[in-house]
Amino acid sequence: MTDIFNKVSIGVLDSLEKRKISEEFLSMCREALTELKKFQLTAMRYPDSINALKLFSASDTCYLVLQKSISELEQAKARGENPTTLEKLQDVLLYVCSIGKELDYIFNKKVGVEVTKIRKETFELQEKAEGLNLLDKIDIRVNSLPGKTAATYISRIEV
Amino acid sequence: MGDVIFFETSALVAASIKDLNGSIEHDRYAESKGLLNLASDTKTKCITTLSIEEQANKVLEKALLDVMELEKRPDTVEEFRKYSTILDAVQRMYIENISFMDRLSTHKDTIAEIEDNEVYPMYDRLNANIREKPPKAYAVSNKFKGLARDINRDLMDEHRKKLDKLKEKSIMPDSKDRIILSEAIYLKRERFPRDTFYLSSLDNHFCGFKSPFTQIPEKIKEIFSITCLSPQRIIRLITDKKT
Repeated sequence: MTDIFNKVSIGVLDSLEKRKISEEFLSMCREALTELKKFQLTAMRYPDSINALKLFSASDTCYLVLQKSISELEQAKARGENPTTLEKLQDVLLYVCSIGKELDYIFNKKVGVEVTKIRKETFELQEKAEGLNLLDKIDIRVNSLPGKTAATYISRIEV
Repeated sequence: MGDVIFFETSALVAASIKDLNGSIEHDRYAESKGLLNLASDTKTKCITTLSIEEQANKVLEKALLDVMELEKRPDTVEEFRKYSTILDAVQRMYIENISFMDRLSTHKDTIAEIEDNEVYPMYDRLNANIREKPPKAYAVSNKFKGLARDINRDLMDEHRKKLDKLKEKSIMPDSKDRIILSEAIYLKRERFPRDTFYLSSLDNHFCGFKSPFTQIPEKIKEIFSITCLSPQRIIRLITDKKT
């Protein structure tokens, strides 16, 4: 299970080389998605609240991006498309794998949390995924927040 | 010789909080972000330091922790998504903002010396001056005794009000703010001795927007040649210079 993100990243490069989206590759992506769902839930139980949010954001971003990517890849496979969709998605998929490996390291190897790298990669992934319409733009996501929470947040800013 | 804008924590934080729910944003967002945009357009140098960046980031995170405490720690994916979206939005904006700035290094021991020997004493003297009782008015003749009494009563009322305000917020800033000013002084001296050096802030401890803090920016300018102003005032000055 823990190698799933390695397998997916090799699968991306392999599929590009063979110019084919295989069922085996899609199955690996689905397995990675299940793993990311677990990471979301593990992050929610993380004792330090700010790190919990950052780790959740990383897991959640990867989850949403991978979920949408799988759907696009399935449609591409059904069309019998040469992997132009995969070419388009390869960057974000490799980001998902990289962040997934980091999360696995933190949650399963129980090492100390250093979120700086994971945070940077999460933001880079969000920007790339927003550009590809795999994720709503942050402005849209943030605009849908409850007004009360947003107002309370601003009222608690102390400098 | 040019303009240099040193972004202090409060202005950096305000520039990072935009449209959290359609129209809810930091009430000083527009001017803080506006200054950054203007600086970028006019190629005006914007600088910051690691300690300011760290402080600003802590402020953004602490506010969210406070909200989570008030609304109780989230326990569903949807609730977590709500809070993590706020954190992502403000921290992405914050990262975008600091990418416009040069993060300059300072010398820790020199900063400590400046704080102990120059910044603390300056605020301490100001504090003493402001707390000093106002000089008494004396009547030159018996005819004006009543008037003098009225003037003295008004002056003392005003003085008491000032002291009450100081109970809420002291003239002496906390150590974090004193270090910020010390860093600004260090950078002005070491890196920008010939430039016009602005400290952009929303904090009374630097800009003294209202009584009894109004003497602070004058003193900082007089002693350290640093102009402490709100982002809005700096925008006006830079725009006037360029036109």
